[in-house]
Amino acid sequence: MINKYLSDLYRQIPWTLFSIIFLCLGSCKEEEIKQEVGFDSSRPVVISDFYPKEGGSGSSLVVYGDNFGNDLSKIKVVIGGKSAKVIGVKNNSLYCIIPETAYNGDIQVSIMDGAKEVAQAAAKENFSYTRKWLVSTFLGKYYEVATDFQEKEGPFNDCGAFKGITWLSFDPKNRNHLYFTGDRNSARLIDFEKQYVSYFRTNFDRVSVIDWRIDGNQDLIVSHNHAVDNKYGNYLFSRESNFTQNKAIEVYSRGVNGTMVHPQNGELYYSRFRAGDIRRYDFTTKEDKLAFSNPYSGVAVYMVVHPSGDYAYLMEYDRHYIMRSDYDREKKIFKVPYTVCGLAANTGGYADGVGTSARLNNPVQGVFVKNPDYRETGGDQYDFYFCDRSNHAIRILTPQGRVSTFAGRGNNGTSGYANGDLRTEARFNAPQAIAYDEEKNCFYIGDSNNWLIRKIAKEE
Amino acid sequence: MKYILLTCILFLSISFSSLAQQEVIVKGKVTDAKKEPLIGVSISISNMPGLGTITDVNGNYTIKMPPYQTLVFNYIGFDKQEVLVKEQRVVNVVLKESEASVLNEVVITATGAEKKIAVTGAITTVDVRQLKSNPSTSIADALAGVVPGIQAMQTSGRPGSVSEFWVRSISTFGASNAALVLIDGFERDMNEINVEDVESFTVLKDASATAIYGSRGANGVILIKTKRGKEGKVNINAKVEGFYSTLTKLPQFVDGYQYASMANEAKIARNQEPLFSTTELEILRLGLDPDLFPNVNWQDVLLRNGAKSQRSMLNMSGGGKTARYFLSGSYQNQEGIYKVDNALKDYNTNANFHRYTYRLSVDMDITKTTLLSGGISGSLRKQNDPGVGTDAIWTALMGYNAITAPLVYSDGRIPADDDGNTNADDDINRFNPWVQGTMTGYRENWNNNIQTTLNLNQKLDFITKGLQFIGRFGYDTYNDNWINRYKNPELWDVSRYRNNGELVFKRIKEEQKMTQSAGSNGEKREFFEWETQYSRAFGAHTFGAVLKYNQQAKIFTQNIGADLKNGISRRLQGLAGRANYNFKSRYFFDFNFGYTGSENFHKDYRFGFFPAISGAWNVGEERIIKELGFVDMFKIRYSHGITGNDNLGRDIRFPYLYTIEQMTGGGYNFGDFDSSNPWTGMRYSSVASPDVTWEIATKQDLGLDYSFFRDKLSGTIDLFKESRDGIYMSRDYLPGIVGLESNPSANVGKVEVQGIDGNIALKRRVLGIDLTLRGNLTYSKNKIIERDEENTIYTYRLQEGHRVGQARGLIDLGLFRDYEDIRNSPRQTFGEVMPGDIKYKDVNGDGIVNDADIVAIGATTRPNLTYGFGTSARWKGLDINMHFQGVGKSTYFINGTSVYMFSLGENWGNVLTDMANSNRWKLGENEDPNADFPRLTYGPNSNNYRSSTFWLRDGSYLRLKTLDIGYSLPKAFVNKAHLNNARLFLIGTNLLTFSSFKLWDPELGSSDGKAYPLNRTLSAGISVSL
Repeated sequence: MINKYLSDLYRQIPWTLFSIIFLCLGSCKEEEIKQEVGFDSSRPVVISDFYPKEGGSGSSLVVYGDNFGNDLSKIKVVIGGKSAKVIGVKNNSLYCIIPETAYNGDIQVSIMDGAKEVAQAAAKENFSYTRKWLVSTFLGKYYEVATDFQEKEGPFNDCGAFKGITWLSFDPKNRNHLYFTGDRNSARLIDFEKQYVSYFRTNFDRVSVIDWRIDGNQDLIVSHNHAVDNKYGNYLFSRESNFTQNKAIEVYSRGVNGTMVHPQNGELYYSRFRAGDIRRYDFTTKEDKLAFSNPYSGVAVYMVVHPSGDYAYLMEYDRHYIMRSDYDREKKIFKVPYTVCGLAANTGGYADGVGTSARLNNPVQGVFVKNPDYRETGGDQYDFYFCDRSNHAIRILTPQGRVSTFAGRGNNGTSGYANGDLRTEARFNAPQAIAYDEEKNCFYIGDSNNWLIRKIAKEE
Repeated sequence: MKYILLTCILFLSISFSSLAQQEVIVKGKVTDAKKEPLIGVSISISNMPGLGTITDVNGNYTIKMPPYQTLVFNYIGFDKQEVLVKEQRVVNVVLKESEASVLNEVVITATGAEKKIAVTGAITTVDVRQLKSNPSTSIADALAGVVPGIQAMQTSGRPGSVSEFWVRSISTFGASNAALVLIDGFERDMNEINVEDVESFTVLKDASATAIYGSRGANGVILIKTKRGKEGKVNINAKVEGFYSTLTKLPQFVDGYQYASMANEAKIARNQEPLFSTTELEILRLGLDPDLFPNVNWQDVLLRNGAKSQRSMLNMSGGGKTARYFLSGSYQNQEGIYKVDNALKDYNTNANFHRYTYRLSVDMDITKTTLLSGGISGSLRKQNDPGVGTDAIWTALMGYNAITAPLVYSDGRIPADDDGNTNADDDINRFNPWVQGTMTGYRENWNNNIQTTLNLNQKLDFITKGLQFIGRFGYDTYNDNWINRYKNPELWDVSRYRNNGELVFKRIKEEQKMTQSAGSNGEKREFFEWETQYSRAFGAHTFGAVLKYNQQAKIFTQNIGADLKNGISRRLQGLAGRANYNFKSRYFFDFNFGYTGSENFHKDYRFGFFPAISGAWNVGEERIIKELGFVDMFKIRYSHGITGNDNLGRDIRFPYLYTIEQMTGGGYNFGDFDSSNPWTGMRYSSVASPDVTWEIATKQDLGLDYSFFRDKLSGTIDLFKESRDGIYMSRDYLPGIVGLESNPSANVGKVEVQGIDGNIALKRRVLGIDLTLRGNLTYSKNKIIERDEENTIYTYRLQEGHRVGQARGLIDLGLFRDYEDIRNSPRQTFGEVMPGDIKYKDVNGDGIVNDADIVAIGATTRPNLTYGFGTSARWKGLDINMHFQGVGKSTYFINGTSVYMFSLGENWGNVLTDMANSNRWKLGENEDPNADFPRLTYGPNSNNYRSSTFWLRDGSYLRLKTLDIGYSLPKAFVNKAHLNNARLFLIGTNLLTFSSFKLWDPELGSSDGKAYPLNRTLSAGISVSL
């Protein structure tokens, strides 16, 4: 019995082997068929829920339900009467972006067939829309391909992009004119009235800052940032010539990165990179003298004076901290400065906090902005908003020395390009310059590595 | 064409018929001693071309032949018989079963074939059949666990890659540890050879066997002899095999959702903001944003389930009394495991490998005493690869996690990860695997090599009996060419967030149209040898002597660059000899020497004398033992000798010469302060090391060869000891005051090795089944006795006293339990620690844990123990062969981006499923100080991510290396088809693996798993001979 079975088996061996061999030598095909559920017109479209329940313009929203289909081109979502951008749809869920000014927050999902609406559903609950401060792109084109960059003059909607934005400055006599410097690139004039960006021609190879005289015509002061000991560093562009003619301030100054003009007395202060000092120049006496030495040389010091003229902040770019210099009204000169926030070090860091416990990374331009909350308490009424370049953020320094982050580093990140909510979404890439428009209550940010002018304003 | 063919056939038939007229018909029956008919006995006419005939089922045959010729009867397992046919027309033959006994076994040694019984050195002959079942193109891949005395490691499964192997042990850290491979007497590439062409494969292990190779024999010698034609009818063998290979073990990674959740966990565990918001996690879970939150299984995208290969082989041999020939050809192709873009018709991007080999050899008896043999063989190997190369692909395949990037962005743009590094070479690693595999063009690489051999063997019996002269000449050329055709599409990186719902793109590489680069390398080798052999027996005394002169030269013929040194041949020259004596095949004495020179050394140190003595006592031949009856062989042998190693490892030539270059950095200034008037002088950029010479290996070997019960139990055991002196290494710790720009080299190191290797085989016939059990083992331990290294107050930090390549690291004490534990433990200096981080042992007790606490831990990456065992069974036509292979005493560190989870932060690096789901430390959930993995960190962690016992893994494994099932079709059936033998077979390779290491294939010895894994192969084929 067993023998017979064995011999049967034995006889089958060759055929089994043969068939396995042919199976192996032959080819096998692998194909996968994936079928996704599409919209079923016989069933209703249902919205069962959505997440999150509240938010503002630009935030993400996931809508749950049934029978949404899976064709992105056929789905339309309207929130608060505004059409929302849909990113993805699966039959049971979809993902869209909250549109601007969707105040009502009612959610409607429609299935479209061309322009025709085939089915529709509305959420029972409303999305709670909050108005907030938002970052947007004000000027310039975002180049996905760096080599496509174009530098040009033009209307707001076609003015190329701006490399090297270093310093933004409003014309004190004409708030419709905003100038900015471009370091080794061209300086520009933004004309809000004409909605046009044009060159502001200085004919210097490297321009660091722009400032304004307080007296007379309020001429424009341009600093030529060069590395030669026997060359002038600051020039006056006369308003008379429509800022086309210039005249040097006849003092040799090498490596000028920051200047300021005292708002009452009108003398000019400028910082020298290599020498590591701040000098005072008097326009009337033409006297040039040392105001004070900076604790470090080889540091770009940017300076912004308080509107009251009581003190100025000195942004020590390469040392990642900010100093304050108080004004001696008797001697009409700024005094030896002291640290207000950040820690002087070779490497920067990022931390909110008070005084030296805060960490900065290449602070540049700042601007004093009146804080209405301080009206009752009295004292200094201004917060200082400044660009923390390598932290890719706009930060706030209060009169008490507390540093917090105002905008940027969205999605817990660092650099990038994103608009939207100041802290959860917005990202900058090396913001350097900032200007504040008191009338419109908005900020303009020179986003130097995105080559754009960004705007921070509250949603109306 | 048709007409030509017809004419040919016509002529053939005419010639056949004209022959037939003079022929007679001879009939007969072939039986064995028991009068049982033998089926399929091959019968041929001596010195006549043609196939001859074979006996039928009843042992009968009929053959047409001219009269007065000799009939030759051949049958496997029986002695050949020749019968002269005169007038008789019926020739019945009884064939005698051949006595396969160890006593007749022949071993190939450095000086030719020798009876195994007479061998006094440690020599292993490998059963070539065992090498044949390996599906790889390289013989080297089949060696591990098959050959006692060879340790091997297959570190890549990529088609065309080859194993690393070494004889007995690595006994040097300076120079090369590669064995000398000689094919038909000359130094040639083992991968050149088709395993079916191998007649014998021999490993020479001790000094007495290798002394003849003088300054190059220290790392052992492998002798391969190829098949040659035998007198008789034409013998044709053909074999066709098909393979299906899957990868043994691929590292498995978590999906996008789990990756993102763990990234958040890692951030939170270190008091950082989570990386992904809850909304983002939800979008990822639902798969609603395929651009920013894709969920791609890259292995599924790029890798096939399996790859197919084919191998076919044909050889023919035969010949007559005066000339014999052997002719063979083979073709093998291996398909890579990558998926290809089917739309791409013009070229193939898969990692394919093709190999063609051919071999032709002829032996001619010019006179009665003169044999002239010539041979030519060659190969063409062609390897294909995607444009970026296989290494880049595996780097990306392991580095890309499920959410790094989608296959293609929804608008059709092609993604790549931006590492922020502008270095172009770095970038190709960051293309996504699908782009790398299908959109970067392709590389081709060819090797074509030709080897020519000419031998003249003259018997000089007319001078004195037993004297002969052999002259050999070889000429080889090796060429390899490569063409890289590279391109890449425009590649984009997207920021990990949307800007008002829009993707924020950045172009990171512009499109590159296909560009081409090519290159070649060439080399030619010349060999010349002459040899005089004398061997004669006078009664009970047998004498033998060999004197051999050899020289060889190797020169690069292409791509030699501007360095004049490259245009000079690398030459070796030597004189070697051997004298042996034995008394009554009982007592054997051998003296071997090599006197060889290497151009690497100064003329005062160029030639060296390497003697070895050995002796054997064949106890089995003593009368008392012989009378016991069951001992076939019992031989004790011992050898002692020295050999050398002239391979300096790195490509160094003429280290005894200095190099002079122009001074850098201005030179000498002439003139006053501030006036620049420099003159550059000359300087020694490297000083001469005139006393450099070869490494010397002093080897001892005590061996035992035995065989009992008519070969039912047989085996070999060898104990060996080696001391390697004068290991060539650079003097890295000379004080700066010496004023040298470069570090000179010298023979300063010393390593000692001890070990054992052996094998055992058991043969039985049970219930009609021929059963063989066999096992082999190689174990060795090396120890550095001396090495040029920095002095230290902690002697345990020295490499001296440890193995070559010893793993080193800190000793972990588990994970920190809590902050109390951290406070009460020695301070760890590698960075901030938290509970759940790795706690290290303060070895030197100085209260801090730092680099001074690094000690030798574990063993070495390369195994120190290799073993194999297997069984074969044969029943009727069915045969089964099973072979297990394993290694032990191997440890390695695991590290890299997939082991050190999130160590490179955003976008790069993966999380292994096994690790993610293991008993790992989780904040608030599983704060187990004995957890398998420490507290997660997002970004680098200099405390946890360093070599320590925590990351040390045991690399030992045992695997079912081959399972070979064959079925020989019944003779009766085969003979009807005029075949001699036909066998169908199924072979499985790497079918099972047992190892405590689960993350990837342990045999790779890889620290990060970023390598082409080994293959699990199933093959089926048929071999036919006629």
